[in-house]
Amino acid sequence: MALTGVLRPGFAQLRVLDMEKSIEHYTKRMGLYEVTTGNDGRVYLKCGDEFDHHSLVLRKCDQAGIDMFAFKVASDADLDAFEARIVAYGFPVDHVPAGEQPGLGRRIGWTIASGHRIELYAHADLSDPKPMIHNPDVWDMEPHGMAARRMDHCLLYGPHIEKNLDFFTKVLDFKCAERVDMPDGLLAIWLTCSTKAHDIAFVNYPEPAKLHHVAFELKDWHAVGHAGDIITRYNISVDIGPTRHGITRGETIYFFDPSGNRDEVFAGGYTYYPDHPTRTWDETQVGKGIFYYERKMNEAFLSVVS
Amino acid sequence: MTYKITVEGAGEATCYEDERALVAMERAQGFGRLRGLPRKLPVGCRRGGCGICRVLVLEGDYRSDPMSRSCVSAEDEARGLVLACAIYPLSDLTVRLETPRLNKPGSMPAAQTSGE
Repeated sequence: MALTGVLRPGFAQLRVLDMEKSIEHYTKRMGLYEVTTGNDGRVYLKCGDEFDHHSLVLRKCDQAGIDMFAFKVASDADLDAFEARIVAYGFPVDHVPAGEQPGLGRRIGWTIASGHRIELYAHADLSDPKPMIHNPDVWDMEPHGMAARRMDHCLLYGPHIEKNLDFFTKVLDFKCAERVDMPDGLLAIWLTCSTKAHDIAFVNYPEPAKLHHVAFELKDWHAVGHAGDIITRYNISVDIGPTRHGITRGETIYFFDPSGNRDEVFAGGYTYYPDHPTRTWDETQVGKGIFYYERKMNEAFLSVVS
Repeated sequence: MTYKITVEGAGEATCYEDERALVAMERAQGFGRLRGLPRKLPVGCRRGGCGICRVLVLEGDYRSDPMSRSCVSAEDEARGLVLACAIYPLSDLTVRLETPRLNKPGSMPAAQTSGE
C-alpha cells in the first residue's frame, strides 16, 4: 500500500448555536445524513459516499467555531508511532477512549501552534448510507440537496502557521502542495497527506483556533451550480461563488451554516503526488490564487471567521 | 409592515417584518441610501457567528436570534451591543456601527471532546 500513516480527514466537530436549524442545513440542504445522536446531545452526520461512521459532529454551544479536526490513520500501531513523534516534537498528547464518539475507536489529541486541536484515530465502524461494494450501483441511497460526497478538508485561521507547516511535514508526513508568501512572511499553506491538492490548510491570523471553512466535495461543476440554486432558493447566507480557486483549482461556493460557520462545496482540483514541487504565489497574484475569476480577495476572506 | 432603521451619520434603511436588520441595511446601501457610511458596510456570515456586523442600538425595540458569545457577551447584548444580522426590528431603530472586538488570545472556549 502506497498511502500509509495519515490516510485522510476523518471528522470535523463544529459548535452550533441552534441544533435543529443546523441539522436541517447539513442534511436537507447539503445532502448529509444523520447517523445518530450521542448521550451528551452531539449529533453525528455523514455523506452518502463515505464508508466510515461519521465525518461531521455538531455540538450545541453558545459560541460558533470548530472544536477539533481529526484524521484517520491506517492502523492502530500508527497511533502509538505518531504519539511518540508528536511528544518528541514537544506537544503533550492526550487520549480519548474508544466510544467517546459513537462508532470510533480510541483517539489521540493535541493542540498545534495555531491553537487548533487535532486528533488521530485508526478505527471507525461502518454506517449507512455507504457505497455499495458487491455489484455496486453508483449510489445506494439517492443523493439529495447539494449531494455532498465527502467531508474533504478544512481551512483554519490562527497564528504561527510556519510552525504548523514544520509540524505537519516533519511529524505527520504531510506535504505542502501550495503556499502564499507575502513581503512580510508566510500568509497561507495548503497541506496534503494524499493525492488531493489539500487535506488541511492554514491562513496566518492573529487570533488562535479560528475556523474559516469546512469543505465538502461535490461531483462536478454542474453540482456546484445546483448548490448555488439551493443556496438562493433556501436563503442560505452566501459568501462568494460559484467561482474557482487558482490555488488547488477547485470550483467552489463559500456560504454559511445557521450559526455563521463557513461551509464550502467544491469540485475538481489537481492531483498531487508526493514528489511534486510546492506551487507558490506572491503578493502580486494572490487575488487570482484565492478567487480565480474575480482576481481579488473579497473583504470577507481575511476577516470573517468563526 | 416596515420599520425605519436610522444608521447614525449614514442614512436610513427600510426593514420589513421578520427581516434581519443587516439585510435591510445591505439593501439600503445598494440603493445608495447609506451615503454617509465611511466605508463599505461590514457584512460577514449574516448568521450571528462572525461578529463583523456589530452595532449599538441607540433606540428602538427588536427581537434576536442567538449570537456567538465570542463576538457579543451577555453584558454587551443587554446594553444593545448586538450583531445587526441577528436582530429583527419590532419598531423603528437607531443604530451606530461598532468596530468588531478582536478577541484576546485565549478567550475562545477550550476545545471540548464531549458535549455541553
